[in-house]
Amino acid sequence: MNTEDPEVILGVEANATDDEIRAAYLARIAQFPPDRAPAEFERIRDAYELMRDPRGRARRLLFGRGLDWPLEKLLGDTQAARIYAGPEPWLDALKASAAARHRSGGE
Amino acid sequence: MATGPQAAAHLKAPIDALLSGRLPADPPPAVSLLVERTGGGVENLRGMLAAADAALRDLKPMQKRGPALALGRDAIKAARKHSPKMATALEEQLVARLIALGVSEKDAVSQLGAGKSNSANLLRLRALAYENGSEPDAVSAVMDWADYHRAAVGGKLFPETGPVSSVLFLHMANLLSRADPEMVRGLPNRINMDPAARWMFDRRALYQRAAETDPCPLVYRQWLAWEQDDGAGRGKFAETAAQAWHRALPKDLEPLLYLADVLEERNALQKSLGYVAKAEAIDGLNADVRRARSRLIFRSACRSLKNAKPALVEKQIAALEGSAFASQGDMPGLALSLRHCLEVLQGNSAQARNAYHTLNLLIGKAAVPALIWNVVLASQVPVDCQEVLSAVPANERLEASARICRLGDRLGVPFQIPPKWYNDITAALRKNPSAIESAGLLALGEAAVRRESLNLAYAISTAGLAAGGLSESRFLLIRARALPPFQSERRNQCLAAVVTLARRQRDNALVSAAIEARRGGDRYYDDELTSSSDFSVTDEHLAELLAGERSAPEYPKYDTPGTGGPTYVSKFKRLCMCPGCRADRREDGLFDNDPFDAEEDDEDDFGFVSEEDAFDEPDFGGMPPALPRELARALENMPPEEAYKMIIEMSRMAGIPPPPRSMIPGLGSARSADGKKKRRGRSR
Repeated sequence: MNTEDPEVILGVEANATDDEIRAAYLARIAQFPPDRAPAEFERIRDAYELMRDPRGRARRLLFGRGLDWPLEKLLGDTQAARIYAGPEPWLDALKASAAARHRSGGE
Repeated sequence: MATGPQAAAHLKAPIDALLSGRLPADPPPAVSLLVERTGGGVENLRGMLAAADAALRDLKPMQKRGPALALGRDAIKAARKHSPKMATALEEQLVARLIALGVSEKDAVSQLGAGKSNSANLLRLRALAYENGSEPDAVSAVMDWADYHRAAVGGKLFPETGPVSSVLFLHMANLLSRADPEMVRGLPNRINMDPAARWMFDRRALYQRAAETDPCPLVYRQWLAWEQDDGAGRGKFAETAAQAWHRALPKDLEPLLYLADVLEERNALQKSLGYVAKAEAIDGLNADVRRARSRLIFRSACRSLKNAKPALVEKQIAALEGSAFASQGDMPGLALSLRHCLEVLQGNSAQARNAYHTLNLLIGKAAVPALIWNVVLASQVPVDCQEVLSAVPANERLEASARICRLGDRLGVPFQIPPKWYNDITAALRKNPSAIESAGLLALGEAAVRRESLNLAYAISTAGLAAGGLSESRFLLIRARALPPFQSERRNQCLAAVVTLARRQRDNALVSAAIEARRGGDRYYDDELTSSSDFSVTDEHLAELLAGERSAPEYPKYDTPGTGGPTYVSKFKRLCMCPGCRADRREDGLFDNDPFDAEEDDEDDFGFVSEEDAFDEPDFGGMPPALPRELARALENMPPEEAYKMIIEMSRMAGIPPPPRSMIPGLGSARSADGKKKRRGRSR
């Protein structure tokens, strides 16, 4: 999960309404109550503080994802998961790579 | 096949490369398929995005763009496979970044192989590129922001009225301050612009729109500040802005106090007091409101003095004596000092002496000349104070000035320190930094900063910082404002520390003052963009900074070695938290270990016996820990020569040198040193 974008932390769109933001905040703190997950609660609280000010939210919408916004963040919270694929694709890949080089006259 | 620990490193590297996005640009389909099937596609794309991001970020306008463009094109290709929507967003980002480097949009699109886009997001990014690019173009940015507003409202990204539109209009108004006003004024005619669209180049119309779409004090404050800047003859519109503010937000005190002030300047005292009465009805306990009446009467009395209207002055002195503040602190001295000046101007020397004597009893012998000097300054009357000012003993000047400055602060009138006293005050502070209490010292510091007497302000901040306590943050602000321009970094660090301390003390006024100082006193630019979150220092750095400032009592001089004071640049440099930099600092180890290692009880899924799969063990049959299990299994069952060829192939794919044969013990024999073929696992 992105640790900086309050929208991502709360799981709302950048143009979410006050009610949507509050509902998302309540749902998240129910999931991470302060007594059981104080660090996560603080992150959620900070994100909510940033999102609850309508003009602050407007500034984020207009200027937030600017030219210095890291491109990796375009992937959002898509997580990489290492999947067991069996030996075949590995061997196929290695053979294909060797064959390609052989065709192109490499070693 | 058996491989030793040394070979493990060689095997780990290509696999990491395959899974973390350093694949060749056009890998064979089987390799792409492998990456997809093993879940490496997302990581591969993430790596490509990071690489393109870093390359474009480092690119300078005149630099060769080829390699960065190639990375951008690869990232776009990979993104298209992942998600067309994401690919479009990426194309827009990359195009905008090239525009910021001075490339035309048409060239940027063709160089990146991007698709055509007219989305609102591209307009937004393009506007940002124009305003923040290598050659900022505020006019193009404003035009793009206007187009963006139309497209976004049309696309229902946000409503036509509301905070987003307001923030945007305010931003456009502020952007126009960067362009040449003459050029902006003539532009609509030059480009034959539709009259209905000309509002975008009219700052007043933009402020007005910003205020109408979301009536908010911040917008009115900036609008009013801009109108007050009388340089272009706009001063007369300030009252209109304040009245609009009052109409939209009738409970706000600021416009009422401003209107009271404006009317008072026009000598419309009754009307002015009418606004003060309105303000009193809203919040009669507000210190600003309470002091407004006294201040108004004082200023009126000063003007009456100047205009030689003794009857009016008498009336105003009586009103001042009857105001809420009249009996507090040194306030009674104010009315008496006015009376003294009045008597001097009328030639009533006996009455003047009498008033002076009473003043002496009220506020002390040393403070009287400074107070009268300030009244004379405010009313611009021909009363000579130099003789009495010079007669004040040097060692009493510090306390007298502090007292008068405090009185001025209470009244809301910026009283001054007599310039001839500066050196004596500085010397007195050096001799005894705790000579006066912090409130007086703060008032003195503000007065020194106001008059740009930076040397004196610095000495005052030194005394205040040495005393410590809760006012430390305010003295640090005086220190920051007193620093010379060549110490801008030190100044910024001090301001960051002020914000941190003020936030802890929940002192919003101080936070705002520090942010204002950081902006360099420009009241109406970037108010929306500079957030207090940009100013934060850790406890450790804060303690270091305070200690550094306390140990620098000498005012920094450019050409005097040893007066430079502390430097914080390296200490306060923030660590970049982007994935690339974190990886460089070895803080991010996504694939340092095979993710399967972290999973519990997954052995059964792969048919391995758990104790034999303890990858932490140095010897588990010759296989390196980083090797994916499925590949380890396949290589294990291969003839060693063939397996070695595969390892070489993997190294080539990852673009790293293959391991030497000598690093793989047992090559040429499928058996290990003890001559027995080791089985790593068993099938279920």
